[in-house]
This record gives sequence, C-alpha cells and structure tokens, in this order.
Amino acid sequence: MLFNSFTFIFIFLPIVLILYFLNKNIIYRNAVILLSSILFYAWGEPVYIILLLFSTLVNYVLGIILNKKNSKSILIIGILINVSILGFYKYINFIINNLNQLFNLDFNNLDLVLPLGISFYTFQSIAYLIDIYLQKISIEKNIFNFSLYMFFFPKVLQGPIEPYQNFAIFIKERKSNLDDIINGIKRFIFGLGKKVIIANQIAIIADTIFNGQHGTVLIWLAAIAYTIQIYFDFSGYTDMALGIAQIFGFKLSENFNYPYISQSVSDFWRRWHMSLGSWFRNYIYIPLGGNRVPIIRFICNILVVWLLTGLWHGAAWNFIFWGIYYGIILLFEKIFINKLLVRTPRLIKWFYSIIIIIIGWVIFSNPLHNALSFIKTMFIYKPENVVNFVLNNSDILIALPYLIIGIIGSTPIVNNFYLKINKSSRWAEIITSTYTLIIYLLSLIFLVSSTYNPFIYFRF
Amino acid sequence: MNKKIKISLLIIIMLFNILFYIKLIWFQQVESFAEQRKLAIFKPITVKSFRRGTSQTNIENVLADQMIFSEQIKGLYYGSNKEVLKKVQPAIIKITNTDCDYVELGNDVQYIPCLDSKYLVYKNNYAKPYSNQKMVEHFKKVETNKNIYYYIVSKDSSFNFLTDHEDYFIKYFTKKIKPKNISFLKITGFKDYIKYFYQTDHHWNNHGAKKAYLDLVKLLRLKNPIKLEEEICFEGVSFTGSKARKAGLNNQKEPFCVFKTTLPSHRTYVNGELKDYGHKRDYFNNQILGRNSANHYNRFYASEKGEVIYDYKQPEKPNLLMLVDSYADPVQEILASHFNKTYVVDLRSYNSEFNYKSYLQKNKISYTLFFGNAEAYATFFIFQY
Repeated sequence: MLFNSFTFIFIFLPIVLILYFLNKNIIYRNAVILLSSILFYAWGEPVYIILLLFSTLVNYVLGIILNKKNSKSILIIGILINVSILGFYKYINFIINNLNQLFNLDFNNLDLVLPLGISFYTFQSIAYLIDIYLQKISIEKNIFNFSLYMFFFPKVLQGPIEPYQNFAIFIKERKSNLDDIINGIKRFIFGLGKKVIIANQIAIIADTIFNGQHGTVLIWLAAIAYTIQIYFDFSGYTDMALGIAQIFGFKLSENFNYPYISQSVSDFWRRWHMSLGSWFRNYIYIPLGGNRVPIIRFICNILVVWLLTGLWHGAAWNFIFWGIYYGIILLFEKIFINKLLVRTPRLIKWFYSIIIIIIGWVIFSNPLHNALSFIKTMFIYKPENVVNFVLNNSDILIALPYLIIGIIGSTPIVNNFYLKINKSSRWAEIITSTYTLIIYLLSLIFLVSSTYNPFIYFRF
Repeated sequence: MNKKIKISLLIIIMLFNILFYIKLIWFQQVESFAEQRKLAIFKPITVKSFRRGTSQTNIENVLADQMIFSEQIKGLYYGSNKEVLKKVQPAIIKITNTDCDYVELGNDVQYIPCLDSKYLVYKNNYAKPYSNQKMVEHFKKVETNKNIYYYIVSKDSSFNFLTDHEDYFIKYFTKKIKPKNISFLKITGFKDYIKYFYQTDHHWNNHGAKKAYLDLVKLLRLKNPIKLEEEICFEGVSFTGSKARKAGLNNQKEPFCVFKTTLPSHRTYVNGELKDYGHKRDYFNNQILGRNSANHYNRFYASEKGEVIYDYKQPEKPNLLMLVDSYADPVQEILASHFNKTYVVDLRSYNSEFNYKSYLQKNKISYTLFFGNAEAYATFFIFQY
C-alpha cells in the first residue's frame, strides 16, 4: 500500500488511528500497530509477507543466540542469511544476465519480483545483529516488540533505516499529545504534497526527455527536473513516514537536510538519505578502518563503501557506476581539494557540488549507455529546436511551473521565512493550518485528476 | 487560542473525510458523463483476488472514482490546464516567431493556432501503419466479388493540413486495390475539414454526414435522394467531443446540430430486437439526457452496436450489407430507405463469428458497402473469407 493512495488516506490510516486511540494501554496500541503493519505490507505483497515473517523470526532467534554466546561465527551466519536473501531477490537476475553475456550462456532469468522494502529491512536486521554482538544494545526478548520494529508500517517500505536502540525506547513508553498528532498530520500532508503535487508533475519532464535523444538544453532540463523530482519524491515519502510515526508518538530519524544547498559532495552525503549514510559509515566504513589507515587502504575503504552503496540502490551497471563515481569524487575531494574548498566562495562551492550531483542523477536514472550519451550531450553542445519540442509536448509546458516551485522548495527559503515569524503566534498557526489544508485539498485534486481516464470511443 | 486553531484543522479534515464516506456509502455514482465510462464498483474480495492484487486495485479504483466532486475536479484541473496552454502556446509562438505548426494539447490531441485554435485534430502520423500488405491482399480478394462498394472516411489523423492535399490512406488504397466502385469525402485542406467535422470530436458533423450520403447516392446510382435541408441545432445542448475529452478540455463545447429527415415507415432491429437505433425521438421530443455533458453524437445516432437491420418493406428493391464503423451512424438509416432490407454490421461488436459468404446467402444480399476510416479497413473489416 502506498501512502499516496486513496486506500491508505481514506480507509487504512483513519481506521488504524481510531483503533489506536481507542485505548491508552501501550500493549493494546502496539498490537494495533503490529497488526495494521502486517496488513499494510500484505496489501502490496501478499506472498512476500512470508519472507518478512521469516526474516523477523530468524533475526529474533539469532539475536537471542548472539546475546547468549556473543560468537562471531553466529554473527557471520546471521549476516550471510540476511545478505543471501537480499542477494537472491535483488541480484540473481543481474548476475545471470552478466554471466550469459560474458560466457555466451543461455540461462533463463528467474521469475522474481523484488520484495517491497527488502533492502531497508535487511540493513536494519544486520545492524541489529552487529549491535548485539558489539554489546551496544540489549537484546529484545519479546518477539512481539521485535516484530513491531521490523514491520512498523511507516518505515517498512522506504525507511528511514532506524537503529534498534532509537526505536526500542518508544515501544515501551511513548506519549502523543495534541501537538504531536497535529504536527504529525501536518508533516504527513506536507510530504503528500511534495510527492503528489511536485514530484509527480516534474516526473513528466524527465521521463519524456530521457525517453528520446535530445539536444543539450533539453537534457539539462531533464537532468535538473530529475534532480528535483527524486528529492521531492523520497523526502516526501520520508515526511509522510515521520508524520505518521509522530502521530503514534514515535520519533524516527530525519533522512534529509536540504541536500541541494550542499557546499561539497561530502556535505551532500551528510544531507541526503542520512540514515543510509549512517548505516554505511557505522557498519562498513568504520569496521574497515575508516580514515585511520594507510592511504591505499583508505582509498580501498572508500571505494568499497561506495561500490556497495551503488549496488544497494539497484542491480544494474548504472548504479554500480554511480556508486564508484561518488567514491572517486569523494576521494578527490578528501585528498586533493578539501583545503581549497574551505577558501572557495560559497556560490562556487555550491555550483561545483550541484553540477556533480546533477550528473550523478543522470547516471542513476538511466541505463549506463544512455546516461553516458546524455552526459556527453550535456557538455558537447548539440542544438535542437527547444520551442518546437515544448509546443509539441504540452505536458512539459504544464509541468515547468512545478519545477520552479520545486527548485525553490528544495532550499530552506520557505522554512527560514517561517522561522522568522513567531511560530507560537496565533497568526503563524492560522497560516500554517490554512497552508496545510490547501496542500491537502490540492493533493487530493492531483490524485483524483491522475485517474482521469476517458473512454474515448477513439478512431472508430 | 492556538489549540482551538489546531483542533479546527483536525475537524475540517475529518469533516471532509466524513463527506467522502457518506458519498461512498449512500451516493455512489454508476457512470461518468464527462469520461463516458462506467465507474468502478466494489467487487467481493477473495483469497485469490487478494493474492493477485486485483482486490486492492479494485478498492483503489472505486475510491478514486467515487471521490466527492470527482468529475468536477477533473474537469476543473484539465480544463484550466488546457485553457492556460491555449493562451501560453500562441504567445510562445509569437515571441519565438515559430512557423505555423501543429501544437500538442496532450494525449495526441493537437491544434494549429495559425489556422484555427478551436478545431482539435489528432496527430497526423497515424494512417501509415494502416496502409499495409495484409489489408491489400484481403481487399484484392474482396474485389473479385460482384457489387462491392467502398466509402472511405478521410480524417484529420490521416492528413497533414500543413503539407498534404490528399489523404495518404485513400491514395494508398486506390492505388493498390484499384477498386471499381469507390467514393470518399474529398478533403483538400483545413478549410474542407472544418466544413465537415466537429471542432471537438473525431466524427463528422451533420454536413459531413450529408455529404457522405449524397456521395453514396451517386456511387450506388440511387434515385430520389432524401432531402436533408431542415437543420436543427438543439437549444441548450452543448457537445464536448472525444478529442476535447481526451485532451481534458472539458470546458470546450460546441452546438449539436442535425438534419431533420422524413423517412418512409420502416422497422429497425438492433441485435435482433425491434427498437430504435439511437435516441432521435427523445431529442426531437425535448427529452435530452445530459444536455451539457453527454456524447451527443453517440446518443443521438446510435445505441448498442453489432447488427442493425432496417426493413423498409420494399421487396422490389435489393438488400444491402453495410460493414461499418461509427461514421456510418448518421447515414445508415437514410441510406437504407433506398433498399428493401439493409443489414448494418459493426464487426467489433458482432456477437457471433462473421462469415461473409453465408451472411450474403442467408439474407439474400446483393450489394456490399464497406464504410469506414483507415483503421476500419485495416483491422476490423478484415474477416475470414
């Protein structure tokens, strides 16, 4: 089930909230969240719910064993089980295709659908086992509570990747007052608007242009559009997740902090998908030795981390290339230009960062061959009748204002303005409440309009 | 005070949701006039349907279709978007000094601002795929029969108004088949087009239909044509045709006019049932459903498709078979008055397997008329021979 579906907004969420607030007993409330989370997952993946149940059970049992024995081999077995499940579903067909190409073989692809959220819950499970092994956290003996951590519907599909210790404190004790509920609703609606009003409209620009071969101006337009689209899409989802969690009294980790105002690529990765960045830092980079190792080892550590980051995002060469691209740029930044960047004017630093980020998204969003061709077009001028293209693709013309709103919205301008006015004043509350209502209604208008499906009686 | 404002926000959202539930439970809509389709309704959930995800899709579709003011929201959203486009696009053309060209409104629907911005036209690259060898071979076989007649409807999609003076499909068809008896609505440019077609619909208007009838009178060498002189434009009736609906231009409307005819008495059988084809009587009796929203072309001229038989009880005259698409709707009843029995078959909706030769024998048919546009000729006019 998607947060931006009618089923979620009008049926699932209201029913869950009513049931949740019927009784103040924490065990009752946890039971409501767990059962609704199982239904939420099963709604989209009726079959793969078994896989998530299996993963929950295995990690729960391994956690208990690790707690008793603290054996490295048990930890390795646990990690291997988790990685194998992820690897099988996510990478097996990619491996088969590459083996077929490399050795001229003819193996058929397996008929597999990637289970929803598998990359997120696998990483959470691995982190849980490692933290128990390192005795950073105490074991969760209650399988019911552990299941709640694994299944919690606001985060099960797209994160944030939440460390167990952050989540556990809310399982046993939490409060949600009127402020939490209202702020949670506001954040959910704000995220819904980001996804439905901005990201979905801008997607038309990138999709249309990247689907053909175009000149320099249009490829840049598509690249910028995708840059804004992916931010509004993912951060919108995160806002919705954090908002729902807040209504229940949970506080999940923030995932974004205005990544497009970054002053360097390292800065960007401290602001983009922060929970994933923390995971790689805590469970891969630091265990490998981090930067307190000889330079060659340091280079290897960075490249390994970014190769894995690329692979985590998808089983395709463009993701691998995207990961290595960032690995190399970060190395370059850390080894050669770190000091130079300190002295460089902010605008130039921002410009350097945003260009690198935009190119990164071109690689991320297209098959490798196309991505390289687009990047070439971005830097070697290729003319095209842009006006004609836009006139013949009216949806792009309609989407352009949303791109401008998106660009402004990806900066802290609006938030800074809000912070300047007195947040606790009556007028500030009226403005934000009205603003929230307008976004809610607009989101519904956009959602309803996206289902416009005239029977055309066409060409008869 | 802030607490009151916060609670008000919560109450407004809840009220909106409650309104939606009330509509969903007690005021479900069955059909959308604007979209010309049946709206989704709840289907029973089974383990199988849930496992396949069809139940989930069904519930989502029902909720989307039954949203309060759904039709109005869609109309407002697309209508305002397209109105903005129709203002912005000519401005861009003016500023950039772009040559006269087709301009896209969405979903293959275009217009040509330098010619007439009210007339919506489909993309003009559509007829070529229909000009294919399979079709040629089929109609070469058809041509070996006696008394075969063709009427081809020229359309915007098979015509480039900026460059062409001849319909591509018609040119291809006549060159390859060399038919003995053929006629078509001759269009030589945009001026001709706007005379014969609706602004917002892909069908021809009453003048196009009249022209087709008169062409057919000539082609079939018929005597005493029916007079089509009294033009009636229904008061308070406006028509938003298929192209406007497809582009989301739900606010673009045009009048709906027909020629009033006086036909000899006859019986009409629609898929074997004695009844009217279309709702002409209702319109003339001023009992018009959906005055501003219905697809009036379809509602006035047609009803269930498949087989329509007109029996004018003139045994001295021959029987006619018309293989048609919806362009024949305004013409078939009038044309049938020149024959004894006229069998009008739309193969897309014909209930049983169509066997051409046995159909002719069974109904003692002397003449066959293929009547349709390029798609009809290339797809559903091709039957087992």
